[in-house]
Amino acid sequence: MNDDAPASTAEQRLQQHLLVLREEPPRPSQALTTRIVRQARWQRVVREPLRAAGRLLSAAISGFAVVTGLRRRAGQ
Amino acid sequence: MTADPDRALVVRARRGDPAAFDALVARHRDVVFRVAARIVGRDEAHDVSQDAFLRAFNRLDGFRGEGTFRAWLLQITHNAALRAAERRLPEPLEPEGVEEAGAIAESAVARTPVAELEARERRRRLEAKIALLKPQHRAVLVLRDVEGLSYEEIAAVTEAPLGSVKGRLNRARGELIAILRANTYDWELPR
Repeated sequence: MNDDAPASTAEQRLQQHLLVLREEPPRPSQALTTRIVRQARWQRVVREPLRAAGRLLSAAISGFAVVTGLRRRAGQ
Repeated sequence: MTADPDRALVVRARRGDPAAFDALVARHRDVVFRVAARIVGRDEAHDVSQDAFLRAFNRLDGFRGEGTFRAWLLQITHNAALRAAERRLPEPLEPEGVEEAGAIAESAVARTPVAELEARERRRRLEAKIALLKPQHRAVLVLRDVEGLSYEEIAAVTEAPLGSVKGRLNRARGELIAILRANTYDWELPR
């Protein structure tokens, strides 16, 4: 027996009811596709500059930490 | 493992080809929307679908291709839908709107108007009852019994072991039967 076979008459009946849901599935509007594609393209444009800015900021913070660390050590 | 029909598009999208990502959206928007709508309701399904696609887009480099792109995308959709479902109670799906009347008419060709009305009412009631299940149970029931995914695919989508998927599905079916039996509408579910 297939382990997915409905165990009881009630389960078999439930499967028939659920099949009805496939007949008329919810459908997305065309506007959804347009919105996703537009957002993805916009994100592609800003993603690289943002990542570069993030790397730059991270490098600046590391540099600042090194410099202040050196000064503190020199002062001791 | 079966070959992923989306592999070439994924490779092109990773290299920055916008048309390839557009094609992936066009190919999978229906299933993503259906799964989202069955978990969170039609209104919120648009936001969940958009969220899922954009997350997939931004994480495309992290897709290792161990399963299919579809399964990976549905995993992101499932997680986005569960997060949305946790934020607020789901609303039952409403009957199709006016803009979808064409599609309804097409599927109703073989039915009389009365039979079609009756079928739509049953669908509406059933969707409302499914919305009463716990989001995790609702998800596996929809993925298996409505979308027809295999157990392995559902395990990948829900990031749960196969045994848990089967257990969750059994509980979901049992809960739904109990809910329908308690309903005044006759679902003809013998004990």
